[in-house]
Amino acid sequence: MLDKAFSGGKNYWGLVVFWFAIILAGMWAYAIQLSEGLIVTGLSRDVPWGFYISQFTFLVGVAASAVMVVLPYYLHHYKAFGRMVILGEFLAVSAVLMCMLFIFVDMGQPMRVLNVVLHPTLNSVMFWDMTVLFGYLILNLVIGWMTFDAERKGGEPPKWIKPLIYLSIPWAVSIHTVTAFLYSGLEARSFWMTAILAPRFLASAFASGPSLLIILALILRKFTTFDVGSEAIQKLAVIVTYAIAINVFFVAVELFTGLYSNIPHHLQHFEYLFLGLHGKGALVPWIWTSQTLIALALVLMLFPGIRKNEVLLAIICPAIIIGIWIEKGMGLIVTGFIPSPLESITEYAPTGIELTIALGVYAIGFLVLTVLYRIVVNVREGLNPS
Amino acid sequence: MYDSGKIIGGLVLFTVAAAFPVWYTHASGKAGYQPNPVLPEGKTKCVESKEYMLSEHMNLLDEWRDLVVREGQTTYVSTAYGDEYEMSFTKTCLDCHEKKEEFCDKCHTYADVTPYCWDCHVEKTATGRMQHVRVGRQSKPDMLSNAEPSRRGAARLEDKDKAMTARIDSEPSAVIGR
Amino acid sequence: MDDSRRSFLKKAGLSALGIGAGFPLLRASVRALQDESEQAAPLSKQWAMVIDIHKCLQPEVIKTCIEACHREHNVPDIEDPRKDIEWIRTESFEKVFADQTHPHTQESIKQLPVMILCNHCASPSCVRVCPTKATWKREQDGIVMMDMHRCIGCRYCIAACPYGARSFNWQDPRPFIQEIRPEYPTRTKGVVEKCTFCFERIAKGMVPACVEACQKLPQGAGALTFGDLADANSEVVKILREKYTIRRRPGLGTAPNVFYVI
Ligand code: HEC
Ligand code: HEC
Ligand code: HEC
Repeated sequence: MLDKAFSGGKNYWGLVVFWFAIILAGMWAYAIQLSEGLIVTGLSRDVPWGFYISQFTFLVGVAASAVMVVLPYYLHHYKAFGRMVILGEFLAVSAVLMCMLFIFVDMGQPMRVLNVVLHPTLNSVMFWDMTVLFGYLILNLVIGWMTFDAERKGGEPPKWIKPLIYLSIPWAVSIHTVTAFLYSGLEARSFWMTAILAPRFLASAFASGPSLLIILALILRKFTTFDVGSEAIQKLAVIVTYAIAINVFFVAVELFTGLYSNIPHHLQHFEYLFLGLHGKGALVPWIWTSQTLIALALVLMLFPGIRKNEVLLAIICPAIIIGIWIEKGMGLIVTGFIPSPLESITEYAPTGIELTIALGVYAIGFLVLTVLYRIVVNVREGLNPS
Repeated sequence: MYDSGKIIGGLVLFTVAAAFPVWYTHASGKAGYQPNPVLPEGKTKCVESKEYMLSEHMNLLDEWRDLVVREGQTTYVSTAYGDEYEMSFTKTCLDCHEKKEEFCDKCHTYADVTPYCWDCHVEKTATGRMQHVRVGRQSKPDMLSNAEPSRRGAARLEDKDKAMTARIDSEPSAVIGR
Repeated sequence: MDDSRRSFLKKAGLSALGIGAGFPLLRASVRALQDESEQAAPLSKQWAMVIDIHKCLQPEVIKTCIEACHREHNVPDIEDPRKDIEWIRTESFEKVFADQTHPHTQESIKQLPVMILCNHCASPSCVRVCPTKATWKREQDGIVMMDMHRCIGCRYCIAACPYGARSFNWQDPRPFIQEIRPEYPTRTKGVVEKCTFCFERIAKGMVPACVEACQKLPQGAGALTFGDLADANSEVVKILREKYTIRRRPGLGTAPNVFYVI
């Protein structure tokens, strides 16, 4: 099936070359980071995690959201997702890959990464996070590949794949829950120490991931002969609407607890994020952009008429993605560190090198996605030539 | 599918070709040259037997490291000779094997291994003093040629030194260029 | 109700059962985690430090302690505080004991310098989160140790420490060390470090470098006291019995082993 990756038009090859160019730039930047150390980032003693870990958090959500097509299709036999499901699984593969790369580039001693396996530490959430992420990658790769290969040959996938599919559903939930536990179990950071973090992560994931899937499906329809069907897109749009509404609710719940209880340790973080603290508020414009985008998107999505218009959908979905990307990325990770336990306010902004490395990681993910989707499209075209 | 085999074959070939520098040195580099490390004068024996040290010194070091750092022990009793040693990389091994370049390095260059221990553990020169005294003037141009961040650090150190600052000003490209 | 939904409910029920069966396991593991807390059987030895805030006010005492530690362990001196590395340092009273100050606290008290270092907690958050056991609590003496050889530099421990006691090597520290002491290794870029209560000196029966340095000063006598908390006759236990002492952020349950006489 791999050979299908090598036939494609000008657009395809242009895209592949484009990703490779960005990957090269990313590798150049990473080489600098390797030789100089993480000093090339904007991170500091007070803000030890930043852009990389923010991307990681966001992308775990994208990966987990595959469950939103897998579950209706396999458990409820919702046939309209028949063509969508493979897109979801392959998106998960590329998202998990990016997650792992973001953890990797964040490490001070990347050569020693195997220590996590050599000295497994059951009480560390990070150990579990790496374990479940790796498992999820394998699960989706195997499931996606086997089912798709069977379909190509016109047969049934092997029997043993069914239990794996059922397993992948709670597994998807687990990757994002465990990722939330990374943060919510830290008594040092009151901003994260909230039980709603895991549910909130899931809600925002099920809003942003399917939004991305909608966009990808629309792109495929425009540039190839592959069409997932309007019903599938509409169903996803409904899922996105529910998820974004629940996410807004969860954030409001959290705001209430923080503001009404009035505990300074808790309050200060919200203050920094939304208003700025002691004249410092680098994140303020970002978070308001994010909240405005999410609120607008929610209101618009509530109207079926708007939601059913695919042109508008192609505008609203990116807005949701950007809104959540800010909210649960930098908005959540960096704010957790400001103010620090010693009440100092050290701000953080990623450097050019940091951004280039991050772009490189994204390019690797999207390259994998492009190739996988190319295979899907080529195989489908072979099955029913138009 | 017949093409898959070709592609996988191609991938394997590519990997082998890309790894050329690695396997080439391994296949060819070892012949014809002996390391001849310089043994310490006036000392007759190592911590353990010569054969043991030759083949196991890295494991012994790892064992020492774990015993000291993780188990909190300090003395090691030689199984071959029964002598007692303080388990210390710098204070024990390098006390006898003073010249790293003529001992450890000789073999390691030959065997093509670069233990990373020296990134942290400090080597002594012949006089027993450490080499890396302080950020002297000699090391500065070197640091300037590095990429931005350490240049920033170096420039800061130099701020203390007006003459050096002036030199930087006269060579703006070395500092600001990037 | 259609078939698929029924089968879904069945599956959901089964997984709920699975979770139910897993619960006792979960409880056992939570219990195991709690064992690290102070209520559990105390260690046969627990090194601890008492810092007398009043005796630690003079700049000379402070400077001597910090310098002794940093020279002893090749701690670099980096001017940018965002990238600096410190094993022991001072912060103002109002920052260290934010819970103990209020708007009417005398300004002079708020600004008092207080020595801070790793607390070698009885229930350390950093140890709980480390994915490789590169930082762990030594059972033989309660020191929260750092294995620089194993650290992968993920900085989870920095995120978890409620005391800001840990530093990361953002760059190669060697160019920033005034004079390297060959007896103690430096660090490389990419690993986390912190105070180890001078485990290497304790092994030889010495007190930590900071304690020794300030004891040598006439004004510094009794500023820092070091000893075994499990030994009823040790100097630290005596002080804790006789004087009023506090710890940093007691509400978090980490149970620091550095105490302050105020
Ligand atoms: C008391 C001095 C002394 C100490 C301490 C010592 N060595 Fe040695 N080492 C020697 C001598 C002498 C020899 C040569 C032994 C022989 O010829 O039997 C030797 C041999 C060796 C050899 C074999 C080299 C060869 O070509 O024969 C290695 C490897 C070695 N030492 C490593 C170490 C390491 C690693 C340590 C620290 C754990 C260490 N030594 C500590 C004195 C010492
Ligand atoms: C007789 C030659 C010889 C001498 C002398 C020698 N080594 Fe080695 N050392 C080797 C060889 C060969 C290896 C590689 C072994 C392997 O790859 O299995 C090695 C590997 C090591 C390793 C493990 C490195 C890695 O990446 O796996 C360490 C640590 C080490 N040596 C430390 C020392 C120190 C310290 C000294 C000096 C005190 C020293 N060695 C002297 C031959 C020598
Ligand atoms: C990141 C810096 C670093 C590197 C790299 C490093 N060490 Fe260490 N080493 C230390 C420090 C710091 C200590 C003191 C104990 C501690 O805090 O971990 C130490 C202690 C030790 C000790 C016991 C005490 C002593 O004084 O020697 C041994 C043995 C040791 N290291 C061996 C090694 C060997 C062998 C290597 C290379 C394979 C190595 N170390 C690489 C930092 C390093």
